[in-house]
Amino acid sequence: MNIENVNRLPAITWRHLKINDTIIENLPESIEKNNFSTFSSVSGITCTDQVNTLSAIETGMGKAAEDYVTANANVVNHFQITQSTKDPVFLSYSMSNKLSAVVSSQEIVTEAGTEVSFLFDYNSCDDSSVFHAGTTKIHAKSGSLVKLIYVQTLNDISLSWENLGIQLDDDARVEVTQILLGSKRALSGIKAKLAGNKSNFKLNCVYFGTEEQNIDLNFVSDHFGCDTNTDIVVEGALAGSAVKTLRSTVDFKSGAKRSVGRESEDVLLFSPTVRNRTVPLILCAEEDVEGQHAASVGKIDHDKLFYLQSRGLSELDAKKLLLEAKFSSAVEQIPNEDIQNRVRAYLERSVDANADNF
Amino acid sequence: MKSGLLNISDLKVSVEGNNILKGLNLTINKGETHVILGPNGAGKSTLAYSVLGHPDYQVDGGKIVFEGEDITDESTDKRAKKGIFLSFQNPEEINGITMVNFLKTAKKAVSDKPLPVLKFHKEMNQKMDALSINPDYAERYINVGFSGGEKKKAEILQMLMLNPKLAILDETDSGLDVDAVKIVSLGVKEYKNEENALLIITHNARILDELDVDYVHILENGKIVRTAGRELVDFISKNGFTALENQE
Repeated sequence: MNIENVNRLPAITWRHLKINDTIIENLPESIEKNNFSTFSSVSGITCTDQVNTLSAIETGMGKAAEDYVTANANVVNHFQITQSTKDPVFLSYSMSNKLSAVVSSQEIVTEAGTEVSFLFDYNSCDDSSVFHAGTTKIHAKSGSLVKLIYVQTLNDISLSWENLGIQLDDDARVEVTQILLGSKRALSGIKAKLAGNKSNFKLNCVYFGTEEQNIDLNFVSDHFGCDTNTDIVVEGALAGSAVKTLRSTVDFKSGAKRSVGRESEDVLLFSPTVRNRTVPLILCAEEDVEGQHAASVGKIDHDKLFYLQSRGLSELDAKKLLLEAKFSSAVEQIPNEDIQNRVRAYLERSVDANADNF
Repeated sequence: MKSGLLNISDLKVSVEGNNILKGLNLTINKGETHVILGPNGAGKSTLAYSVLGHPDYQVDGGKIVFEGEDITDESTDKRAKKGIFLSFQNPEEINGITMVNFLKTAKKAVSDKPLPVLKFHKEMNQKMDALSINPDYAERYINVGFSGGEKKKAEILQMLMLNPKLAILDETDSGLDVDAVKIVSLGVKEYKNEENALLIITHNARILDELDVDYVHILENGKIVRTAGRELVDFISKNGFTALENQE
């Protein structure tokens, strides 16, 4: 089956540009229904399998993707955070021919003033084609902080997506880090509604598209409250015949006075056959706001390359180092050393495999 | 007799079609300290970049010989491995690579042998302390968020750790306050011995306070127009380049 109107741009543009939305094709009609939840309870967090409290929160990939996940979910978690927790909630899926599909429907509600972090990890442990589809809705109540780190290192014949919907109340903060390195088709959509005053949304998304990979991203930050703040930083590299589409929107609604929204993108292109599409969008219905957009698309900065070479590194080693460095700050956000090392090793392998392009 | 380290003969270099160096000759022997002075736009930084082989700097004629070997067409990393170091006027900021990891990678690259890690860290900590660099900076990304002075000190730290045969300092003292110039100058003094050499490009005589200067060259319009001893620095500091022209 196919899903249409996925990752739809909030303000559509000419159809012939083919960037208004995307289609996900050849989805499994049905998914094994076992609940693979891997969460073990900890103090301050209750977890149930009732996920219907946040249905009003919209997601970045849209309703059709949500509906597919709701109908087929085999991981269902509603997390209620009542006390701050130090250790991250860690959900890791090592996927293989034995666990070939994880469709997760999850909700996270943080009570006022609490702090929590989540680490979602999807990796392949064999070369079989696997499928991950996820919807995660977050309601960060006043003064709370949610950190969500999503790591996807599935093999290059898989399909995966993570679809987020976030609502932030007064003074709430949500920080999302996404590391998208694997899957033939990788999608991510995030819609953040900064409803409360002084709420703050931060996103750092990094990707490395190689060979025939297709990466499709849609990030939307809707500012409703006063003094709200958004920082969207997307960094990546494309090699081979990889395709990436990024839609990044900061939308200042009427009344969102003194709000600031920044979006930036930095992409390295290593091959003439890659396709890099970007739609940066700043929508504004309020005068007293500040919207910023910055983009850098191209090759590795040759002055930086010269600097590293002047210290004895070969051109290839310097390029590899600069490429790996692009991912460093995101990888350092992973609150688990084993996964950090695994991601670095994955990255190193990808970089080595594509070094002929550099 | 002193042995030749760097021999530049009739070097002509252009950048984007503009001729910058127009037949420059310079010989530096082991143990020597050379100073290059010259007005803005004379080609001082071009000389530094050309010795390291920056791809934007096109060599149109002449040659650069290092330890008897013609390196005019060598890649930058090979020149670095032979022992040439450049302290950049505007060091690059590089996100995602910590200073300590960069130093380790560079040390391994130039020495081509395994790195004794404990010894390396001990040495780095000592040198950072001597240069009054906050130890936390080792874990920070290369030059990111560093002040102008901190960047220059980080360059000198790299020089001390990599211990090159020839160090070229391109306006390392610019943007430094009096105390920082003193610290950097002492760092350079610590590096200097009879087996290596220094080429200092500067506008400022203070960095030379701690150093024995052998030769001072005036670079004007792409050529070295005068060579003398240290007294030339004092003359230029006092009277400027125009006075030198009038004197001629």
